[in-house]
Amino acid sequence: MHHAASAEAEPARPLPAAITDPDLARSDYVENCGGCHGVQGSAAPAQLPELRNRVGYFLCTPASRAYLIRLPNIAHSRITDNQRLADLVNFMVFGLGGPSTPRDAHPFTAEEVAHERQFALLSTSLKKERARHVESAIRKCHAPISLRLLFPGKPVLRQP
Amino acid sequence: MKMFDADAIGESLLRIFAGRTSRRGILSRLGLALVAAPAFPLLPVSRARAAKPDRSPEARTAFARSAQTADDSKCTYWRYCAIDGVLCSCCGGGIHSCPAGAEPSPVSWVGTCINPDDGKAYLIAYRDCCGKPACRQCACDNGDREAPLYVPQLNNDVIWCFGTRSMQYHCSTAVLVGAA
Repeated sequence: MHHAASAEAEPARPLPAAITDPDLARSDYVENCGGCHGVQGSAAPAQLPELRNRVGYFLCTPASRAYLIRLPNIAHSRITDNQRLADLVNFMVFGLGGPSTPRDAHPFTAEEVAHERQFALLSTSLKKERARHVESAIRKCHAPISLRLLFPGKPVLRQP
Repeated sequence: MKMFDADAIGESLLRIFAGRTSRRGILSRLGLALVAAPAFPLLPVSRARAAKPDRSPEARTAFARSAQTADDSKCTYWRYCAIDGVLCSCCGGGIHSCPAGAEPSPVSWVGTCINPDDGKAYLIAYRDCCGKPACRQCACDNGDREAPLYVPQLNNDVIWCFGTRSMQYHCSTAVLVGAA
């Protein structure tokens, strides 16, 4: 498919075949996430977690993988079809995650999304929850310590 | 004698079948299959296909039905289907560009608008221009895809001047970011 902005959110590597409709996955990402997180996964210097070349670190552990789907705006997305939501998340992780996405990571399925979105994070601190998964990605999956920040570029503060 | 007698083969097969099955047995198996069917994905192909957004003419909003493609300094211009703010094209900027002295925000509100010329849906990013006192020309409030303020992440009343030097709102652009 060729359109004016196809270069804007171009995936860094081929998207997994599990995405049933790559064009819809991309436009769903732009429509539902890209306003704040950026069409290419970056909105720095706005105070938002940068997705480009980083979001894949959250596939590090089963808990951080579940965290992505449990984020309120994903779990409670107005995309009610679980396959369509899985396609969106797979576009985000495999299309924007770049080298942060583990080589052997398996794509999200409609069943996994249907299960995890039941446990939307509604009564917990999202900042603390993110920090917890960032630390395990640094410890277990060689994520850079700059992942503690919402986007790289500022010097990392020493942890007390 | 014939080498191949389809009639005789068919008859003997039917007789073997009839001798080994009972009508009740078939009914009970058929019943079991009916009851068990929902437990198995019978049509994996259709299950794996994601639902598509409804782009039919019936699904169009009131805005989309009366939108025009000629004048981008009017609220009815097709790209403004989900804009809430003043048009930069009336404030010394353009539909893509901030007026001199205003800074584009790195974040935006994204809408899906139908172009009446080709009937297709496009993604439009409403990028606020910030850091100058509000321009007071051409205020528009179109709410396609918008939810009330108690669903803030789906509400476009919010000023999107985040990540800019100043949060002061000046005007809004409507940048085409691709096909929807």
